[in-house]
Amino acid sequence: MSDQSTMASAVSAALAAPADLAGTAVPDDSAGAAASVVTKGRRTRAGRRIGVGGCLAVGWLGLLVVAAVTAQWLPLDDYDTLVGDPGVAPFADWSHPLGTDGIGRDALSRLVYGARASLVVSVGAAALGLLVGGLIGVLAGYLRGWVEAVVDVLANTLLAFPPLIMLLALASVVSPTLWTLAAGLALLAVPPSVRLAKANVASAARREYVLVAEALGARRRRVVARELIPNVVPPLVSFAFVGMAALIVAEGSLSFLGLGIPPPSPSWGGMIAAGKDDLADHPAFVFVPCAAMFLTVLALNTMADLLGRRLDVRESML
Amino acid sequence: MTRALAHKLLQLLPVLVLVTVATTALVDLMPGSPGRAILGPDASPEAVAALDAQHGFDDPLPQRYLSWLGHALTGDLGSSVSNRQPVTDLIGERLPVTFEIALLALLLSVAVAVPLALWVAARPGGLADRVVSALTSATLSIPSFAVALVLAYLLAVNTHVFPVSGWVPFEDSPADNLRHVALPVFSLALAEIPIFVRILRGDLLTVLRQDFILTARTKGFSTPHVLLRHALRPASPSLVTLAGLAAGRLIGGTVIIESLFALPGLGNLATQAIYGKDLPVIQGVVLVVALSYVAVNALVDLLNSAIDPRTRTA
Repeated sequence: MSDQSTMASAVSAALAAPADLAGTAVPDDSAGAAASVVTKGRRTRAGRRIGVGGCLAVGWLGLLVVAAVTAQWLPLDDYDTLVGDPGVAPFADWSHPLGTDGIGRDALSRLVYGARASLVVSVGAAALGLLVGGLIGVLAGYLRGWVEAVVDVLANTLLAFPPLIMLLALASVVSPTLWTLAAGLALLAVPPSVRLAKANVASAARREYVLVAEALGARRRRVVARELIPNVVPPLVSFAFVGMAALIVAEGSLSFLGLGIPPPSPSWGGMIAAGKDDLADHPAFVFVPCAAMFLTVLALNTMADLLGRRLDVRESML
Repeated sequence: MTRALAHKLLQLLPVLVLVTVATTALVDLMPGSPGRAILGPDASPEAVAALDAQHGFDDPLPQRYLSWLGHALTGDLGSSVSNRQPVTDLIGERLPVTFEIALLALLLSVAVAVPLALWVAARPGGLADRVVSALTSATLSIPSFAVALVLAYLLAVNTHVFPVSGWVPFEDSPADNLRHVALPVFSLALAEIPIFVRILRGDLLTVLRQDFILTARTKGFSTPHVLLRHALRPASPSLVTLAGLAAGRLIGGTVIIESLFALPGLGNLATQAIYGKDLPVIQGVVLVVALSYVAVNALVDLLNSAIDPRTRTA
């Protein structure tokens, strides 16, 4: 710890702390809850069970992905065509199962195409952020010295920007498209990935097998690729789900402020923003996309919890 | 103690410098000149050039930064491009609003989360524990603007318990002020409470398995006494750290809530400045947010060393 800043240690305490929670997150684990909090890594049979919640989470995410990928072949109305009266309530008319929006476009179609935008942006951003952040973290944790010092300062700098302000500032100078959004959001995923990878590598780098590899004359590149990166992949994969959940909310927030995916392309945040002024008369405009976002985030968090317990890793929050 | 604090602040200095440099560099990311972006495509080239020259947007980055820094150190953050008001005045007007909301939200979160965590940690695996665990899991997954909309729908639009939006200064009418901040504060607190409950519950369970707790129990102290007087303090450092991070986040991160409830706070100023490409204001807001991040970080360290003497360094 001596060469690290105390702030880094404070934040890594915050990073490390949710690890205790991984075992307590799912309510049906009641019997093992107390024990798993304390002994973190105890892998009980109950801890490995996926459970009803896990099945529902996988089911919802699967449905969402299939719907988003096959959207143009599904029997849906065009998302930008007026198909009926404005403000038809959900479940009132079965040709528009979720009703219509404020100007009469099919809500289900907009929800599905909105899911496509949300998923592309958040999956792309999470993958990019984790790849870049993970690699930087591995190198910083292995090489230490000035590399680590520089990486620490840069990661702290990124963390000092409140996420939304950073995105807004970027949005003020770069016009939003799917790609710029994904790149901007990826920037949010980098610092936590760096910390996570660094923390995992720092402990792995002192293990005997790394020493053996070095003593056998392995080059640094080989040590990183063959010995260290396999240690970092499982926690990063688990973190990817938490990250995607946070990024979906971040993308929704941006669209909500009118700085996300530009209309007429639908997005969940955009649907919520468009409907919020009709809250009194048509609560469904807001609550249908809110519910979709909530279910998706809940499913992703549940997946992260399940994977976290399986892999016994730390999770973090963006 | 003071030396440790000074050392810490010195380490945070590069962060401040980099954050402000990055904000200054935003101009270079802009396609075309800021003057053109602010005045629109119809403005004459002379007007664009005059605005760029007036605010120094056409100077190279190092010169722009040093000039901004020189002024900032004397307390001058420039003036807004759109209405020529000094940035310090604009921020001074808005900061109390955001500060009040953030502080109340934080206090409410801690006030709810600590008793809740103590209650469920007393009987891990019990009914209350499982219910609270399920509830925190669910609340963690609701975006704060969704919470705000649900609360607004239930408590303001439908039942008129609270006003839908707007702001009354505390000096004018404390009661009205509190009625107006209630929904924003609830929305923000609801996002923090589950995190706090989970972290404190986990730490409490770890502490409760230690020998000194067993000793206290065998001495015959009641469970509430053991929880409050013996377990809470050693279990609180993570909570303090997280609460500090939350404070930093709340000061800069109430953008959506402020925009939703039409509150004249710092987040609102930031969004307006961003829509209007008002770079001096953006820069000022980012500086204030970064400063509060640094201050909170130092404060968290102080608090933690007060709670746990073992973390004190010479």
